[in-house]
Amino acid sequence: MTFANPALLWSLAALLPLGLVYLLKVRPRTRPTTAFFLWEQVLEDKKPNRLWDQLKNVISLLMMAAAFGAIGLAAAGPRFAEEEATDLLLVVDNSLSMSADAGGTTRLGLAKDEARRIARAMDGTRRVAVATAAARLRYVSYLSDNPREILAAIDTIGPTFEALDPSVLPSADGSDSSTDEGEDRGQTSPAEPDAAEGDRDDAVVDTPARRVLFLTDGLRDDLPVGVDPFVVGGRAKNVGLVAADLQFAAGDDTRLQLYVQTASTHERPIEVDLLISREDDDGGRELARVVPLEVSPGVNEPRVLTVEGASAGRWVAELDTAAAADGDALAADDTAYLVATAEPPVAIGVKAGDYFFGRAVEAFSGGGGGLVTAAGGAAVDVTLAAGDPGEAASAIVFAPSGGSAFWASLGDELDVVAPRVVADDHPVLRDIDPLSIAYVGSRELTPPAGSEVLVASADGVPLIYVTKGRGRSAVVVNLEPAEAEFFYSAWFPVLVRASARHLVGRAESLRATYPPGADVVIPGGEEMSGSFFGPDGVEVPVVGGRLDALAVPGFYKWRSSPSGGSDETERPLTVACGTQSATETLLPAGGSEGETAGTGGGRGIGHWLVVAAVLCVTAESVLYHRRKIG
Amino acid sequence: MAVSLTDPDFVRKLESLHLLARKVLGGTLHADRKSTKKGTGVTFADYAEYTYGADYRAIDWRVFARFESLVIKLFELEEDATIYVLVDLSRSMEAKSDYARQLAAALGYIALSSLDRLAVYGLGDTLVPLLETCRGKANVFPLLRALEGAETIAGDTRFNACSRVFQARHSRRGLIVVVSDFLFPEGFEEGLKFLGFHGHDVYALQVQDEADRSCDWKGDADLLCVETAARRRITVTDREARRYEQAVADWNESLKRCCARLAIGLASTDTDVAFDRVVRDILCRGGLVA
Repeated sequence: MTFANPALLWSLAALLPLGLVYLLKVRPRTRPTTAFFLWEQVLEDKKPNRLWDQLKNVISLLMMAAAFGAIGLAAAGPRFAEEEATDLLLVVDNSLSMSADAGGTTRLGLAKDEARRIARAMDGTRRVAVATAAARLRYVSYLSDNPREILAAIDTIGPTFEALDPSVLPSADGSDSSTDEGEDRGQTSPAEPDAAEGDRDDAVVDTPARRVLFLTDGLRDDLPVGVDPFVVGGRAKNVGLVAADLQFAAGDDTRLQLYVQTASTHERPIEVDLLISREDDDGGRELARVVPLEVSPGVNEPRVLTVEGASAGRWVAELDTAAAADGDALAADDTAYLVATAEPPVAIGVKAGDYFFGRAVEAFSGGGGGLVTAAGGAAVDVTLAAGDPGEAASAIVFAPSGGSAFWASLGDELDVVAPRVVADDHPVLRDIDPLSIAYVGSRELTPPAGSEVLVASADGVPLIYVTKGRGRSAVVVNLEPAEAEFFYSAWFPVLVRASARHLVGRAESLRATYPPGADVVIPGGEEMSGSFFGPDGVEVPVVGGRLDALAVPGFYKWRSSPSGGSDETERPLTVACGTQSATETLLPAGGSEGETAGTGGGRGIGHWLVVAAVLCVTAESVLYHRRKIG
Repeated sequence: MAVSLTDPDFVRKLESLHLLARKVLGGTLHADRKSTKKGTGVTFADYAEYTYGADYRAIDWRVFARFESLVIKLFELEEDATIYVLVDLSRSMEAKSDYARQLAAALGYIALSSLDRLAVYGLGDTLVPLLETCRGKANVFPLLRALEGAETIAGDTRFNACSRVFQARHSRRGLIVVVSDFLFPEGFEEGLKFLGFHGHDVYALQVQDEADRSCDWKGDADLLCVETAARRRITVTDREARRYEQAVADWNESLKRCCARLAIGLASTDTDVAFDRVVRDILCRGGLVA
């Protein structure tokens, strides 16, 4: 046995004076009496217990000494030598499935109860930190050996609507793969919360071994090595939507296609209705269609449902589980919030004689591709040109030649081109592999000032760049597509489409719905001034063109804030957030009851010593009461 | 001693008690204590049948002339009473000593003021004379000083033995007032019976306080007998305390029954009650003679 605070064992030296004081304290008082003979008459019927009379003071003294000794030992922090003194990281799963009913409480409630039990069992013998895991890992406490702090941190844990991403779980060696820095809570990693930035590397190297205990509702195969799962909750019957998407049918702005996928943990197929409603600006819902569904156990095949006469806007798909025979353990996954967006296709004016330019546009002209060839006389959004684009306001230019505002100078053809990507994550390049393109026919070229070079040669000659200025913009591709056989590449139409959408500002478009916890990139968000307001009325600011992690399912409506003005105008910009996740809806309930071996499994030695001390004091008090009070 | 028996205020109280005694008992200053015994007084009391040895001078010849039957006339005996006050001076009376001495002083004062004979003794493991038999008001202050200077007597109160000693010293019958708590380990019945057997009128004046009757403490105690210094380690619970209080009550009840059986007057009082009120009550009930 070892002690956390062995110096406190010196407190046991106080036992000797304590014994002396105690004997003085319990010495009986002399009671003079005028009727001694009557007292003898009274007491003569009482059976004498001389052994007890002689030993009761000694027994009382031993009890008090044992109580004091037990308290002294408890203060010294005893623990068995074989116990590892490693730090413990309690990770509580607060994903969506943990909100499922579990006999009057939720699985999260069970997990928190178990976390509290473990925290109490620590009894100050080791340091414990608390974190939650869902789509992100969030620390809710520093490492601490104070059970009260740990319990307070556990109390702050609340449910989320996020799906659990096991990859965010920290490993036992101290490295966290994905950590929410918790800046809004002022929290950092609990291992070295006060470490200076310069000490971080050393801190990582010297991070002591720790144990990660993951309190969750199901065993998973993809947990990081060293993470010990502790399973709470049992099987529960649930049905919900695990996937949903919404878009207009190709070429028809009045026909919505709803993609839904359901899942069930019921043992038999159940009948539910899918209610498809449109939500107006005031939050009212107009039922558009009711679709009876038979949901089989497990994840069902996806279905595409059509809503005729639909319009763009906010749509809600909701499973009516009220008629489900065995109930529905998780209500949050019954509803999908979706936004239908009707975008007109980008009109491309082809100003090139080559057949392949027209084919590139036609490749994305139907089925929601977003491009259409501008017929004669129709307005042109983007001009697709080879050589000189002329006076087009927006153009995609291949094999630049002649004079143009889209390049400052044009030189000789390059002999050998070794491309390198300068802007890797640019929307124009996002769906292609620019390094696989043969840049044949490229010429010495100087882009206009302020141009954004995406791909350049080793010598710095821009191969693909975006230039904007004076109300005009262009994507210039510095290669000869025919010589480079780029017409035969799959990247050719993709590059045309990506460039066209980028030039008209549609490179980034909002999806129909986002999962909770996802970061949403708002198209043109960097220039936007205002905030989104969630379904609970909470303002969610747009930072750097991104909407921070969505927390609550529902619609997030944009409201602009004109600078200097008091009026607020509402743009028809809405972000939908839904909880669709098969792993959450299926309510993992696998695995046996969890084990917390090594966590004490109960109260620590110090706790039981204190309990023993209390019992001794109580027993002695009874004796003392009998001696002093009768 | 907290209370001075020679204090003028105290003496004034005694005087007022004496005046009350005269009013209650009546008579003149000289031998005004009427006795229940029949004797040679002047006041006719009753007739009795003549028996051999009776004083033939008391034969009522008029009755004989009419009924031819010899009867004698009986007269109330008028005599000088002798008052004996036995004050318990044992250690058990230490807390009640002042009170007992005040009572003894009051009774003695009334006796001396009524020209009765008075003797005062202290009771303990032996009989200690405090004031030899005397008469007259001139002995009031010797009485008070004797009571004031009386010391506590060590040892158990041996009332029975003291009764014998007393009888050996005073064969003249009189009224014996015993002022005590009557918590005698040897008992009180034998002594009371012995005194009554020898023709004394006995009056028991029991003085107790709350500490005698109840046990207001609990727990472990080293019980100490105030008279014999005997000790005993005990643990007192509510049960033991109640039993003790019952034992004291039974003891007092036995004293009451014994006195009734032996035709002995008994007055029980508490130290909380003023001594003059106790004496006044006794006088109002007709005096000490049962």
